[in-house]
Amino acid sequence: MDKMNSERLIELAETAGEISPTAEEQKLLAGDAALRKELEGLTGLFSDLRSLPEEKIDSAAQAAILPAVREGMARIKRRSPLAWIAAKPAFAHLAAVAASVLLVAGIFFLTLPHGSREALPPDFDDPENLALALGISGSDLLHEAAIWEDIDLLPEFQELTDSESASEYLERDTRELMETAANLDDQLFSQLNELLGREGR
Amino acid sequence: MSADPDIGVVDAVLRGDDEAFEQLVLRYQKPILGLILRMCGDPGEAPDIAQRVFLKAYTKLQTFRRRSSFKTWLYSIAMNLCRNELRRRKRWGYPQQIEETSVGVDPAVEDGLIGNERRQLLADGVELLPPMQKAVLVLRIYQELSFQEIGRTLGISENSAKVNFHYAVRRLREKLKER
Repeated sequence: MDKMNSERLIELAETAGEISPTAEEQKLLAGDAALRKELEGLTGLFSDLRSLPEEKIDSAAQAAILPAVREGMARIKRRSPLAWIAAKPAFAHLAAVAASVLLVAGIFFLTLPHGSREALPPDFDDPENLALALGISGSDLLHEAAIWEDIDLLPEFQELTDSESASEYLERDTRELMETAANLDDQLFSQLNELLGREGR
Repeated sequence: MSADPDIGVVDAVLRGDDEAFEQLVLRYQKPILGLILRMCGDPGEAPDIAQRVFLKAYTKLQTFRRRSSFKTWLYSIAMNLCRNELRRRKRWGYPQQIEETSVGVDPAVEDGLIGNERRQLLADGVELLPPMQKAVLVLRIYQELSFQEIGRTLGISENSAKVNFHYAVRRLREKLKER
């Protein structure tokens, strides 16, 4: 096909009359039986494809989607109000500012003289310490929000989640390597001991 | 790009109107279910996947940057979840979807338009397409998306969507010639 390539034929066949052949193409089709047959074959293929029935869904199952989504929305809000709030850009910024203020206040508090009393280790059951920890999770959430800023990044995020399982394998391999190294260390250690023992003797 | 008909509702949801989101669910549950069924088959699982699509859209709505229509954005979530589902099935050794998508008798198409054997061959052919070709074909033929929208949905260029479509058609024709 010199003037009508297969891509153009597919386009003409697939749009089912929405796109018409140009005058030149019509002339070409009129004078070329093989080309006409090709176009008819493609038109038939698309028509057949469109007529393939799709699996039927039980109407009750379809009707159950909205209540299930409604329930899911409520659950999301109930279970992770912080994540929900942090997902809102305005709140995320606010959380970041609050976290920074808490962090600065925390550092300032720590630099104040506290007499001779020994500082107690942080107790994370204490809500105040938790609030300080919130400074870290706030920035993490902000980071998360930035990752999700554009849905175009979904495939990349997907790859990332895929690579999580890969990293599990890597972790396992690393553990095995470390164990091997530890065993080698033991062997080396005993060999050294043996050598030193001989030297000592 | 023409004005997105959903943008008003999306704005309402972002202002905290959860009932507005329900409008979006009602508007799109049928096409989303159709898309999931064409991509993953299994009518038993499809409503569950559809529900997850909407919940993901709900939690990530503020990340929707309006570069594409809401519909395209929602479809991209659905395609990602379908891809995950297919991977999960493959990982756990689920039977090939082809066994589950055998073509049933649909009286509307039984009036000599297309023979059963040809339909089965086509249905099998679609199932056996490489994932990207299948995705492009499904979005084009059954969801009637433009190639530009398909590109945005799948994160590929418009041209790549066209090329994948072209190859899918070629494969299907070869499959039919095998008969």
